[in-house]
Amino acid sequence: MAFLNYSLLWGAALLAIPIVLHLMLRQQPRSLVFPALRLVRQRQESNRRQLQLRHWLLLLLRCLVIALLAVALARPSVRSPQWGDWGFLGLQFGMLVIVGAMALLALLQGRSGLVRGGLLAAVVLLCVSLAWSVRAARISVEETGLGSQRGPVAAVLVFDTSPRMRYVWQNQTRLEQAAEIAGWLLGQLPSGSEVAVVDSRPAAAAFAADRSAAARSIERLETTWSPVPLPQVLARALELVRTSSQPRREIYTFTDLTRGAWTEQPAEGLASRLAEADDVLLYVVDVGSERPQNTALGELQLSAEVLPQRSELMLEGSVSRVGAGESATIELYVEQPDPELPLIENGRTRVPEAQLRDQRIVELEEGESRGLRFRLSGLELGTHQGWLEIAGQDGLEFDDRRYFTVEVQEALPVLVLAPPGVNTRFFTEAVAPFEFRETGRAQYACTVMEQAQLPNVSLDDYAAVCLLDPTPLVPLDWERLLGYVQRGGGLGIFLGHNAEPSAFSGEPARQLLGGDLSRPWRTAGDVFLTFRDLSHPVTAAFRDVATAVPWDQFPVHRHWGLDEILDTARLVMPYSNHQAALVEVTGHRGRVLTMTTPVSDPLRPAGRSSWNELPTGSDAWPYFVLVNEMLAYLVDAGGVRLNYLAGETAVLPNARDRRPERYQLFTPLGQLQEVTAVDDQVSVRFTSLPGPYRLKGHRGGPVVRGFSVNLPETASCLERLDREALDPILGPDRYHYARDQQEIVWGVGQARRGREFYPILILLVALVLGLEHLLANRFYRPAE
Amino acid sequence: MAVEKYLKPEVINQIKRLDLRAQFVAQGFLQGLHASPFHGFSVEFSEHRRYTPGDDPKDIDWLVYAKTDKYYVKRFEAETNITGYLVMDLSQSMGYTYRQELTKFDYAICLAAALGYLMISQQDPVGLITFDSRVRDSLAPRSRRTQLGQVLSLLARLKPSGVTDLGHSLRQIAAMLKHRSLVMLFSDLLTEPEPVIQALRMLRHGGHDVIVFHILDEAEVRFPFDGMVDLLDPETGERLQVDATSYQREYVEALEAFRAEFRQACFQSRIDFVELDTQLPFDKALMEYLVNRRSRF
Repeated sequence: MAFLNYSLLWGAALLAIPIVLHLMLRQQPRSLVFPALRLVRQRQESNRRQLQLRHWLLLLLRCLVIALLAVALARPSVRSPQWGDWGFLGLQFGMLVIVGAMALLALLQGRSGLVRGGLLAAVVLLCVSLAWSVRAARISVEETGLGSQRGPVAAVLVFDTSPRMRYVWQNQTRLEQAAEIAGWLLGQLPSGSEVAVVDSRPAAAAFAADRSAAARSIERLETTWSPVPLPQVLARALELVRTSSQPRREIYTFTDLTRGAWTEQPAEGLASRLAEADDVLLYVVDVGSERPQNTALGELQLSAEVLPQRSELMLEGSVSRVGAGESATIELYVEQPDPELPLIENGRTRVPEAQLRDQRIVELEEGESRGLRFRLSGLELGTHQGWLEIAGQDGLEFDDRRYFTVEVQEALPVLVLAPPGVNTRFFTEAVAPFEFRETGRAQYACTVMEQAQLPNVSLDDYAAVCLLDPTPLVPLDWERLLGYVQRGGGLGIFLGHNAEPSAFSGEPARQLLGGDLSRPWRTAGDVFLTFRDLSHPVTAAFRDVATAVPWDQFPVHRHWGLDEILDTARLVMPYSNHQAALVEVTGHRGRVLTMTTPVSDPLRPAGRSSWNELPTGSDAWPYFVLVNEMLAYLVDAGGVRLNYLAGETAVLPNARDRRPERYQLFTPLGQLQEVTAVDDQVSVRFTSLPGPYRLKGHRGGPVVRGFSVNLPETASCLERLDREALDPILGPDRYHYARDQQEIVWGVGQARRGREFYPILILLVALVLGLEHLLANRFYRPAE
Repeated sequence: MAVEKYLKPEVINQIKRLDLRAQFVAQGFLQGLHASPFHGFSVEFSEHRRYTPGDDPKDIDWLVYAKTDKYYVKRFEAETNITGYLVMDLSQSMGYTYRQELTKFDYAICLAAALGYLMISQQDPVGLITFDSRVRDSLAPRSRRTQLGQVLSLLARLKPSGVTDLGHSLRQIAAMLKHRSLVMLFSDLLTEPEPVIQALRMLRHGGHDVIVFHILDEAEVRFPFDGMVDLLDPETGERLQVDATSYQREYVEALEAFRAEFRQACFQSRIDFVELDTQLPFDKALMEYLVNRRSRF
């Protein structure tokens, strides 16, 4: 509660006047001789009491008139949300006064005990209720600057500068409209006000030096491609405004009120923080379009980001429509690789030309979303960039394009080591089938060597090393393998009948195997592989068909047991008897997978029984998928990402012996930056702008690489948020909603002044005056 | 007709001589009556008179008519053995007047004088007793013409003073009266009712007829005050502050209760209780006397 004219409260001191008049200037009674005094005496006592009571009542009323007038002229007001609390308190207080007066009357008049008791009980009850209400209502009397329109304020103008605000409606982007209203608002702020402009950029905010500086910041506002979620910006603005020393603090939030702006990433505890800072007035200025019309492309899924040569790329995307239905033409463009480009020529960046490779026409109903699928084949070695595009123009431009980058590379060298007598064909044919090898589409180039060759090969030439059914290794070999893994190589160990627990112990072996070999388990043919955790990259491929994989048709007859499994080892797949089947050992730079049963056993090996029927069962597609996934995981092909969301740090592997160390980075705007590879990686942190990023370096000729950055799908979600949905985010009744200048003026007026008690108080004064007049007339009727 | 105006207290107040006052009041009263109040209750025949229209036909002497063939009416000489005592309360409170015109005491004297006049003119013996805390003066009843002069002169000399003890005084009077008499008490009765009622009963028990003329001032009946008043009892000197405006209704109620108490007690004892105030014309009181007188025959 605040008072517009605090000083007028001193007027309440005039209360002394009726009191002094009452106490000191008592009416002198007329002296009269009256013989029939005994008749008077009989009823005199009750009359005296009544007289006193009436005098006190009159005094009370007169005091009340003065007090009410003083308070009314001081113009008390409260913030609108508290209006109800204060009103309720006032009502209770009024009732307390009335019931209290009645109780006093009953006491003085000596009414019956029941009446007195009842009234006293009512008084006590009302007192308790009043006290409780005061506690519950958390009302406070403080100086909020409420009540005056012209006092300086600390205003923070919060702008949602997410890309959504680029939506054009009535020839204005949302941001332009927000800036226009904000410019007007700036002129409306009382002189001496502090103004801060806060937008969705993740930068610290401060109050502007003066109003013109604030106006310039508003003019300079532009959308940012990786915005901080609006609730978090609001929380920041709240912290900022609370640092101000101005008694009146206001936050104006300019938003398009879309679902994406408010509900995608809510700030924890924003509502409670706002409720805490209840002296800060919050306005939500809605500049959004009530019926947006937009066609947007959804996020793009690529079948692979790194492709073997001559393989086919699948692009899956979606197109969705907000607003009335429309047909959309979706076009697929792919740039023609040119090792010389990009190039800055005459101040302009030349990029490879793009070719239209495919086109679809999609009929979209209102609010409909449709999937799209494109096939792309015939990609040459190297990096390919392209995009999907909606032909034509609509309100929101940036979501009409989705960029993608894929890299087509040569088959990865994989070293397969096996002792003599071990069949490697199952494995090599599974990962690089003959037909693929012949057509150059094979992803891996397998080199099969005898295990004895291990000391003589340069392991670092290979992307992965696989040990099929290894015989015991000397510790030095274990050391070499460990070193290779620690340098980033991938190692797969598929244990079989050649293994011996004694030879597979020792520290380096343990660190690669993930535990100690205990003993070979022999089963009755009723044990097979099972899934435990489909989130692992190796098993992720089975996720959609997990329950349909016929592992039981590929029984495991024998397998090794692993004891004392290391903390760094992770069980990827167990057998149906709960023993470890596939274990990943983490903690190295490279990846290590250990399988406790071979992947190379023929159906009927000579001189022994087969350990399993994984490769030899009929229709062994699970084996095929499993080995490919394992190898893909080992060579870390799935780990290379070429497509990023805005704001993410793009990391490209950059083997220092094959790739250039320095690159020129061409951003989508054609700006040039130097990047240097560190630790065999090229990191690009500033990826806020969507579009193709190109890296150009030299190592025996130009090397062109690249990646793509897209905005998340939610960035273009123009779906409107109901006003009611703001309540849980900001707190009900905590904010004022406005769509235009008039509504702001009204809301600001109401919020700054609060709700005044003046009319009610004046009404009360009139009532009490009337009552006083009535009583006085009754008591002091002029002589007839 | 002119004489009747003297029945109004404010008019009679202008006449200073008490004998004239008594005469005027009585004559005014008699003139107002259509029939002679004295007819029918005297026994002694005095003369015959020619019947004139307006005479009561029942008074026609049919024997004379038989003899003379003319209508004569009988005239009677009033002759009674009713002994009347005018009993005057001399208390200080009787001297009160609100309008400063006619005190209760003046009113009482006027009334007493008129009654005395009436009674003497009826040749009823009239005596006078005054009292305050005890009996002060007493004039033995006589029916001679000179008695009126004595009564009037004594009345004219009376002054209300001091406190009164009605009960005691009335008991004293009851002891004094030897013969069956008509006791006419003029008082404001502003004292404890119970002893007074007891004493009145005692009087009645002694075989006396009693008429109580309860005379109050106009202000005592209507309580016409306003605002805060400090009331002083002239007899006891007691003071009381009251808010007159709000108190009026209650006062009137209290007075009514007070009167009702007496009225009830008097009714039970077959005592006539006449409520008067100084604004009321005298004929009410006089009529009361006459009615009482008639009832005895």
